[in-house]
Amino acid sequence: MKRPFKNQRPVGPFFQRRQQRRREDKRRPAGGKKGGHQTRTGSSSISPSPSSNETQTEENTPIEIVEGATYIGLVKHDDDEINVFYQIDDFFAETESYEMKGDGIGYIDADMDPTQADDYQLNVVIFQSVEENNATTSDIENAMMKEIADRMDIASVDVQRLTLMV
Amino acid sequence: MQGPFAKYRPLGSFAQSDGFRDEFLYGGNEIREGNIYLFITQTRNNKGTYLISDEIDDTIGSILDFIQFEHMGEITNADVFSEDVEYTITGTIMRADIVKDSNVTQNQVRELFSQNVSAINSTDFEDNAIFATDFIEVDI
Repeated sequence: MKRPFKNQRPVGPFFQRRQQRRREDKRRPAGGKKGGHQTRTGSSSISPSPSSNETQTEENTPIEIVEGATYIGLVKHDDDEINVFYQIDDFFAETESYEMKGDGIGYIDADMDPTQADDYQLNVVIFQSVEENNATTSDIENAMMKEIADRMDIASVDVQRLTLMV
Repeated sequence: MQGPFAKYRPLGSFAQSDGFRDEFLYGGNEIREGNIYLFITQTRNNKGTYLISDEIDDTIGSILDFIQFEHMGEITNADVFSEDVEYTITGTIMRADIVKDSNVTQNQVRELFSQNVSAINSTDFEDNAIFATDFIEVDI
């Protein structure tokens, strides 16, 4: 099913970056997981963020993990056979820099993308950074993606900082 | 085309105030058509979450002139435990289907949502049970 308003979609840097990732995904060798934008190679541990002298455009700069701050991790998948929470739990159990604060489940029940099927499930984990280690949200995404994707079919991972306020 | 939340529009006092549009339009990260957004609330218990849903609807209804969201799902009772507090994260997953005015920013929606929740927090919840909200864009 085609998305409605496809012709009105933006051409801004965020959209272009996502489209670029999808094009790169399609060029990856067979056997990789569908969708997603995370790197499938490298260490399963969380690697430090790029050095400060590396040139990066603002739009590609990962968000640095701040000690004591709260983050939300979203894992999109369509695997009903495996409890994703336990996979996430295993991942956080192996890291000492982050404290998992809970879990939750959401459901995406509408068409996300013309190239993907309906009825994706969205699992949510809340976690807090407990020590400074120069990691970024992208580092967490890559590590989670690799760790979890070794055990199940997974579409994508996104980590965002929560700036909760009332 | 009538939006899914048209019946709620506009209910909030902020949306009804003079100069709503002028007050609402100022800088911040823009909301992009086709992208996914979360309305997040953090409560001390999971009672009265229907009231939060009403506030989400009211927030969305208040900005229908600028952005139309499509409901995609819910984050249900993500229970969080720590040493000193037990709380619950709930959320609504929305897709920005139509962006009629790209000047509306994520910060504005976040603040409007927070205003709406604050208004009911002290009156409809015991002990101000809602103690945090957020509105974020996700890349999934």
